[in-house]
Amino acid sequence: MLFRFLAALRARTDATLVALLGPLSLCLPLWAHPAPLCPAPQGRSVLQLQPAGDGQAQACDLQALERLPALDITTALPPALGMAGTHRWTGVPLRHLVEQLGGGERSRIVLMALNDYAVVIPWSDLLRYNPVLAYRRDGQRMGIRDKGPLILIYPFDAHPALQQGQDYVNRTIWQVHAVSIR
Amino acid sequence: MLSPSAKQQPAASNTRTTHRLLALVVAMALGTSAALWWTLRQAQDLAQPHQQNDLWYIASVHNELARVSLLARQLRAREASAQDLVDRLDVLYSTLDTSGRGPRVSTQLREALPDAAQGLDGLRTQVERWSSQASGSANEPGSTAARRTQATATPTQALRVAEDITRQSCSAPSRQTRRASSCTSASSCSAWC
Repeated sequence: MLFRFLAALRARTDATLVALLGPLSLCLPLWAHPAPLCPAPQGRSVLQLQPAGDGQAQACDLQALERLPALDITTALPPALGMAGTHRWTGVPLRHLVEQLGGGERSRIVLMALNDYAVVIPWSDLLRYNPVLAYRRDGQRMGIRDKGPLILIYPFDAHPALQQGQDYVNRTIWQVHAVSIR
Repeated sequence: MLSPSAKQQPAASNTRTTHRLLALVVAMALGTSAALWWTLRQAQDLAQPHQQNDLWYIASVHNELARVSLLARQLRAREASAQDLVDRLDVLYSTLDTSGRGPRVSTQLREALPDAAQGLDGLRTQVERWSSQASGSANEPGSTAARRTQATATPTQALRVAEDITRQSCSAPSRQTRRASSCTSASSCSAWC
């Protein structure tokens, strides 16, 4: 009697488990491959994203970038960069992009510009200074002629240490068109 | 047995040799110091790439001109889009802009090579015109970045611009910038045409 009851309970439990786990198992491939950061571009693609590993490259338009979490940095840039005055830069924190692309402490984060200039950004910069890949300056989009559409901006005013030496001037890359995680 | 004068002669000779060796050591020290100073100065220059000079500026313009020329040919062969050409022209335009580069570029270039500087000014105007034509917008002076990002390139107009670029890529402005970049051999400048 007891055995029969237990067998019936087990059969019912198995059925319940199958019913629960069946649909969940369909979601496993989605967990293995994170959803693309940007949906298929509706407008002109301005940024190519190359995720870590064998991930598929993604193209982003400005609208898609604007839908990502945004951060404002109000700062003046070093005179060597040729962009005088204090401006409000709005953009996506590079750390967010890198994390969404599967990058981390051991990744090599490479940003490339339209003129083939490229820089490697250390992970420690993202933690310490949280630079943004800016798509707006004082609320206005930037064209290629204005060193846009994307510029990596460090908070120079908030961290005077950034203004010493040459490293952060070199890392303030403009006309960015690709972010690659290697 | 040697006389006292004979003893003094080797002593004087030794003193002379010592003086010569000392002079040699001092000369070597001076030479090494000069070489070290020069090396440090070069290293300092190389460690400060933001201090752009004429050579860097002209090399950048040279590269971008070659790319525009190549892209114009690709567009004519239907291997590139009109928007690609507009973007590339805008990159060239921003490279030609010396306003934020400081006196080391704009002033020195104008003083040292006034013809080349004038040629670059002409090239900038030309690039502005090409870009406006290729983007299908009217020649609006002081065109803004927002208009540029929203501009839609018209294939026919872009094709016409591409033909013009290919035709002019070996003409006057290019020759002047080529002279400015100290291109001496034809092979090193073949990317232009």
